Amino acid sequence: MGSPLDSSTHESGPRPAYADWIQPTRVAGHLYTDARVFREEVERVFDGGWLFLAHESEIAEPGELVTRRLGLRPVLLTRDEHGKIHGFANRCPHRGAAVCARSRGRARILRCPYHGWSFALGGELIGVPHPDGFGPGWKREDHGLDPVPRLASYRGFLFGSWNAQVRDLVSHLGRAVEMIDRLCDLSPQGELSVRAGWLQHRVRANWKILAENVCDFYHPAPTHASSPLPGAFFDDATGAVNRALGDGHGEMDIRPALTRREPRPLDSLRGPEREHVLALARRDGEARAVRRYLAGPPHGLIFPNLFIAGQNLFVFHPMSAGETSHHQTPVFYTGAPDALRVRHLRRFEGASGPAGFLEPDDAAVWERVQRGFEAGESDWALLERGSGREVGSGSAREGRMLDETAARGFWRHYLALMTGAAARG
Amino acid sequence: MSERAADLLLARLRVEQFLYREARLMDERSYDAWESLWTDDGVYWVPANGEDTDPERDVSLVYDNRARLTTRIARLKSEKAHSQDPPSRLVRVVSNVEIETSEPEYRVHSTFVLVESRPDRRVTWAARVAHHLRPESEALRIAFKKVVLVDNDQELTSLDFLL
Repeated sequence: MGSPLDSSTHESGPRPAYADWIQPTRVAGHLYTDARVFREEVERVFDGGWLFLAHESEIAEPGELVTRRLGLRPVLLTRDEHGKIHGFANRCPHRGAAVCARSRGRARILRCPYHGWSFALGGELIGVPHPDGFGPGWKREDHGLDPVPRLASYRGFLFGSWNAQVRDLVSHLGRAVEMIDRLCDLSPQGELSVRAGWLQHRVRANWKILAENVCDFYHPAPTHASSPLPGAFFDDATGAVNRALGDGHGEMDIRPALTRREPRPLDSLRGPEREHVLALARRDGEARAVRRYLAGPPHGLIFPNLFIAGQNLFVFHPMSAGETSHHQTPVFYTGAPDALRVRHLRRFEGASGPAGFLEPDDAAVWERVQRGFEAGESDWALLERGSGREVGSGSAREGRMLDETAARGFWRHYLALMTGAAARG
Repeated sequence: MSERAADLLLARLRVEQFLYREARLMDERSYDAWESLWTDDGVYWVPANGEDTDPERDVSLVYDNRARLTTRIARLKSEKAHSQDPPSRLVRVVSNVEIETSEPEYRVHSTFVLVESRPDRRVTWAARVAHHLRPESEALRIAFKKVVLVDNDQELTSLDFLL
């Protein structure tokens, strides 16, 4: 792929006018297509803030490692022999070669293939062939792998930032922590396992089209007409809430719809589902366990590019203004019956990934949106539904199920970041 | 020609003919005819992230039992899938057919190269395929099919047709 940053020939248009282009209920098409917007948002949104990197269980064992993207830049995540997690720019500090070429693996040391510099899993330079002649002040200790400036976890969700001054992770997550808590607390042990691997889908659409889409329950009935989704479910009358959580995070809270639709007591559950609830009940008591189970996992966006899609994690990586790499993986509840794990794996595959039943139709629509805006000079995307009846004020607001409240909240925060009105991250 | 040689040759012709026909049915989107090639307990598997993955632990692009396969076909036949509006046009070449065993069912290796054409793109897909073909009342039926795409560990575009 070409670097999105060298497309300077496309930057001859007007300077991005974010305050004009992002209005309360509509946003300009340029925001999805303009190369300068892309360059600036990589700098301010992606390099300036916290981004989800991995779940800690992906590198559960000492010696395990994965490579990821943090914004546009490749990083290497390791767990050292003492169990500590590290994140580095995936680049040898000597001449810049990627130290690890695999997406996932196991190692005791990391050795650059170019001149053989080798590094401990904690990043220290431990071996230099022919170590003489580097100059009088040269010290091995100064030439370890470049750490990602900030790395922090919340309940196993590992985030990183290129911005050393970024505020702390929990402040960034704000009210969105409740979504992570809900997901983790569905595990009898309060822990998740994310080790099934990721599906990767390349989409010709700007990443913000995905960000707007994930809390949009106005779209499923028409977009997913090819799948037998319960049509009556996608209706304001269910009582579900489309919620802007502040800081750009958003939530599609379907708990009111689910608990109303399925008043199933523990007695009605059978097999592994019953075992799961009983395991939760040993920790939470029966009433809370049943409520937790019926409410299910959350659906929401953690700004800017992590979607907790029920019992799955979706991450959309920006590649260029017009391309996004959509990564998806299922999540399993540690301590829940094994039969549920396999059942969920099949459910995940039925919906997600390049060959799922939902993802390709979403992608087809996202790509149509992108093509539409690439063709026009002054088009707008409208985000009006429910704007006149939102409850709440400031950045946290609530609307009805089919309202575009969360998408408006996303754009409010994006605008604040792009104009310097909000702290990055 | 010995009787044994003649049997081997006939078996090869039978298997090859089956694979070519299956390929044409997929390219032509003859969904019902393709579905009728499957046994009732057939498994259609397109692994992700390698070829020796465990479908009970690792994500697959597709892991369809017979019921899921029927759902997949019903969705494609509905003509409501936006990802197939218009449908991908497909041509595949099947080759390198190798019969590993023939009893109690044929275990067959093959390869394909497939070109998908859409209004905004042309995509080349390539894979190694394993078929388990079970003789059922004179005809062969697919009891198991595993399609290992050469780039199944990379980013892929939508894969909303049959492999």
